[in-house]
Amino acid sequence: MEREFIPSGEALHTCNGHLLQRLAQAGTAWLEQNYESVNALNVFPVPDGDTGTNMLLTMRSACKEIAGLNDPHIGHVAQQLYNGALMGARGNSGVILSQLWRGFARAVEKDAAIDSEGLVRGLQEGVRLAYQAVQTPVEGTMLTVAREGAEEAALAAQHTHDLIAILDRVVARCYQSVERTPQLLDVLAEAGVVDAGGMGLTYLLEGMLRYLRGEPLEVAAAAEVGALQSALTPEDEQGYGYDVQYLIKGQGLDVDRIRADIEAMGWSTLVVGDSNLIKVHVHVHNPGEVIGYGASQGVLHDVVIENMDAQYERFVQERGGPHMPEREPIAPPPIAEGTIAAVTVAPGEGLRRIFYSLGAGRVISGGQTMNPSTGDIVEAINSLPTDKVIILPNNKNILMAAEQAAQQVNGKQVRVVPTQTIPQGISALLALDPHGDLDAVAKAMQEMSATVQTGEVTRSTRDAKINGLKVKKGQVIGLHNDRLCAVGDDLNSVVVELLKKMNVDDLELITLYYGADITPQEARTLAEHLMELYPNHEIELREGGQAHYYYIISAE
Amino acid sequence: MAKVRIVTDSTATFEDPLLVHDYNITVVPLNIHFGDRVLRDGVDIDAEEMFHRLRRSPTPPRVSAPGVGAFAEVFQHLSRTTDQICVLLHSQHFTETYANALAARNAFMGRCEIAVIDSRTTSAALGYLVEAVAEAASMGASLDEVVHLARAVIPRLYSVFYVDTLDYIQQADLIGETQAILGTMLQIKPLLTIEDGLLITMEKARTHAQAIDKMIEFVAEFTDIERLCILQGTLRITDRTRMLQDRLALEFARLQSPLLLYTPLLATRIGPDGLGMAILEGTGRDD
Repeated sequence: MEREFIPSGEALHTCNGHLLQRLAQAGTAWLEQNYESVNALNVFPVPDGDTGTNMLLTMRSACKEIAGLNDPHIGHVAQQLYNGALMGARGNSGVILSQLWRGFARAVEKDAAIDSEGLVRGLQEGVRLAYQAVQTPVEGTMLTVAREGAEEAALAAQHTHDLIAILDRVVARCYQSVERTPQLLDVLAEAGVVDAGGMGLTYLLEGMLRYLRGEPLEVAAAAEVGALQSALTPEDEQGYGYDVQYLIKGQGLDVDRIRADIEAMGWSTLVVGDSNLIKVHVHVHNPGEVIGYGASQGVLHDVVIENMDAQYERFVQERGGPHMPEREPIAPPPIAEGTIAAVTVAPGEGLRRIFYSLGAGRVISGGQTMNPSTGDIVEAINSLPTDKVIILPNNKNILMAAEQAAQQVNGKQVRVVPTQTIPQGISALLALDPHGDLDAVAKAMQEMSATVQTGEVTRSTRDAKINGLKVKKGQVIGLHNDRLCAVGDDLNSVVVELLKKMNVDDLELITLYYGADITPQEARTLAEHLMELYPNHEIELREGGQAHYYYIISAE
Repeated sequence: MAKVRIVTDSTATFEDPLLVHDYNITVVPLNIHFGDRVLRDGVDIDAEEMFHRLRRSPTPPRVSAPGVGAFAEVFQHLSRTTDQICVLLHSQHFTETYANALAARNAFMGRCEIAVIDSRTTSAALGYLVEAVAEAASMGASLDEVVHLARAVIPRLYSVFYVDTLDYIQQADLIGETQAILGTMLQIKPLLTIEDGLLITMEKARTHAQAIDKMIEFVAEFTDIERLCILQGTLRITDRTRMLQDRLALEFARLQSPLLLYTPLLATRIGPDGLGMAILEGTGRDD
């Protein structure tokens, strides 16, 4: 086996599969240190699928795919990284990230190792495919940052063949590019933030650079590593296991041997350091084994063990709403072979029940605050005993994952009806004719989804000034078709104000789906009030059970 | 040779109430059960009275087929003046009417030629069929010819309804594929159609406006409409009737759309507040 890369301050002229593996892990580790600051770069002050979390989970899935891989061929490792990133892709940022890996993997497919020319080629092909994956690419986003980073790599490679020097310039350029995103995209400027996806990508690349320079990959105490640490989908029956981190102090420590040993015990391994101090970070099912091993090598410091199953439960509780996956609320309707079935996404038990009652074949848990991955959607499609499927993502940020999923499924015809809200999804589902022609049905569903107005009422996650409205963190806000249009301190007043802005006068039916934070009694009081305000309208009240959003409202 | 005599059942509805008299059509009444009381549809109780009671009754009435005897009596009576009878009945999926008529016919084998035809529909669509066949018979068409005509007209008959509430459909047992909407947790206004004699869900709407849009879309798919009528549980022009009439007038300027009551058979299935249309599709010829 060739010698492993050890940060030495010297130039680096080639990168093989082993090194790419380390780089991906290091980039992910650095993203993990910074994902919360990425999450904070939210354009709208609403609880939604956090970009940092989505990118981190996407990279976790990529790293899981290469865990334990011992392949020096960079083309092979890159392909595995892409596979993992693709299936784990969550949110639009995750899907774009997976496409960057896809292009990189395609460009270096036949290479055992790459030099500066290979690096430039890989970055450029990644950018090309990422732009392709987005229907209408917008500048001032992650795409811009990726493109400018790749351009910088090409420029730098004209002067040097040192991969570290090139990556250094790429990262610096990405930072500049991120800074510039508000100039390119008005919504960013108005919200006073830079693009979150671009920032996440920059952290990923910076993590790789830090690894190559031998710089530490932790900024905070390990204990502060975010609560979302382990929001990975469980991929085996043993669950998520434990996240174990410690330092080994000793003399004459053999980093390579210790890394190999640790890798044999778990996954998502990161072992870095020198002969006196080694940092170990690994996910395992049996923390005792890896702690015992570390203690046998030297003196342990800063030992942190986190139960990732418990964290995941907490994550689901906090973000996905109160649902219990083991106890399926109602049996999904039987789907006959050859008929058209719908796969959809909904947060909250109540909404999932409603979707099932309207004939959805499979309702994936998730939505605004927890975006399902491409793999989750693929699995849902494959679980249906029919070969014609329509996906209703019910969320802008799930759209790209849905489109990727549609392409990944073999032997089935899959269409995406790009519903952006729960009410749109419900309306679309009404037009599902299981026996119809797939394209005609998709068209009818699309048309039906356009007949409904969506209102959402939640709490502001930060101070903001949008659409001429000043919002303070914690205030109740109302959105009409994703546009902020009502603010206040009293929930019911905001609902009333929102309905005024929604122009419901000419409509017939207002449906309120109340969230997990609202009691049935509170919801009834509001509904009765609305009946008085709108005596000619039908008011329908249903339990939605969604987290964070007090009310999801449809008007039609 | 005597003309072919036409027999139908009381679920047929006619735009022109005098048609039955003019063409000497025999109407065999279905039975309507209000608890223990049995009333003959259209004889002991008319449609308006039926709807009136349906709206007030806590348990909806039941409808049953005329017995074999009722048909036998009619055939017996008619066979004195003709040896050819054409019986046009509502869908055999709704009641035993068709089966009972067939059973009665068997007793007349050899004495009188009787054709019993399942129209695969009911209400005004059945009325259009009866009208076309009775007209041909009055002009001297043979039984073979009127049967042939009936077979040609049946595929041109369409009915579509939308209902406010699923309650009645839930209680009826002929729902077929309407099953798919029964578990629904939201208020749905299903659009129903009668296809191959079965009442099935065609589409789902949530508002009157959507439902009326879908009815208009349904009409717009025809290139040639010979007859069309609006069917309701009341002869009062409601907001919804006006909405439908206005849309029809706007989009199909030359189309007449008279308002008719649907019959107790449908009322027990879709309730008193359905809104529907029956259509006789044109042949595409100028005749």
